Amino acid sequence: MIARAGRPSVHALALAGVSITLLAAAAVFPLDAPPLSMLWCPFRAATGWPCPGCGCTRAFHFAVRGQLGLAFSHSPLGTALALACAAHVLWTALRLAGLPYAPALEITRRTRWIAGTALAANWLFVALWSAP
Amino acid sequence: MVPEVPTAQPADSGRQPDVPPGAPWERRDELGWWTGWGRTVQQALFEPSGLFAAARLDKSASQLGFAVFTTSVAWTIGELLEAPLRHLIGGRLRESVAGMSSDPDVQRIIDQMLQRTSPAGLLATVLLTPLLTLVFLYVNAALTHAVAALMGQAKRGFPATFAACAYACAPMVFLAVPGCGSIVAILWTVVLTSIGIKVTHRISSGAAAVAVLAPYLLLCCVGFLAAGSFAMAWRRMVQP
Repeated sequence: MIARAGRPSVHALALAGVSITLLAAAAVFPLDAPPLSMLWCPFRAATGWPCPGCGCTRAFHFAVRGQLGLAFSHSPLGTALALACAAHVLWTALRLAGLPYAPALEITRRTRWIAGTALAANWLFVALWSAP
Repeated sequence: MVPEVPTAQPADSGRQPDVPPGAPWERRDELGWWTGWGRTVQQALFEPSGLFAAARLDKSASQLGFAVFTTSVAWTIGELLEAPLRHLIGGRLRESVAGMSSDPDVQRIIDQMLQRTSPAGLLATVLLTPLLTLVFLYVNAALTHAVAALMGQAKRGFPATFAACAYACAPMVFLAVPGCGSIVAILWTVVLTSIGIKVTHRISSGAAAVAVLAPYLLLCCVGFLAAGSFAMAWRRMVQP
């Protein structure tokens, strides 16, 4: 799960930059004004039902403000992604400071099934929570 | 928290037989900057399999530079060329809509569109373009890789997905063409990403197409339906 590693790779650094950008955007922009108010889900507009990613913007918005319960109620997936972004930024900073460890993710058949089931459960949760 | 990329391969002179030679952009020190960029774009557009097969997975920084440079420059040129056009259309649209509807929401949407054509809006767009390109590139690569990994098709790790997504940005040069350029660029990029995933991960065409198209199918196909609904709603809104 965790292995010895050297300096962060270019992808680790770039993803940390992207994570900071997403978290900062969620912290700075209000939900009811542009540009966030201009984001709309084509799936929901066409069917009335949420897509698997629906609620992620709101989840990020509330997660960066520490309101994790509210964030989770909008999207468990979005909350997990926001927390993963924050953890990645923190871990990359520690690695830049000299921490010689990095996660060693092994994607097995079991992991894939768990991830697929979690995504389906998230979709079901969001769909039932915000049914038309 | 991302897994580490494989360690660097030896340089060309001591290259092992299974290590690809590198895309022209990755050999720009030897070919020259513009030649390397031009040949990479040319190969991506007309001989993509050869380009993706030649790409080296230890040259991610170089691939990132190619994608950000190509997209940012073309996007900026496109914005500069489209600004007068958008201003003209926006002005006329505002006049005609004002005659048909007094709905403040409609006026607000047009005002927001026109704000982008102001000098300050244009400058902000130009300055933010490299950052937005970086974010879009990594979000696209992460989403594609996640779907490929769920299907068990991400056989050569994130650097392979990233190489495909980065060189698939070559058609973004069409963003410089006002009007239809963005549609051509996006569609061509989606097709190239599929080809890239197939070659870099060494998987079947079907698996590559599903990995790349699954998120787009979910969002875009239904998006066309939604665009139709939106157009009809707009028509109802502006009708007296």
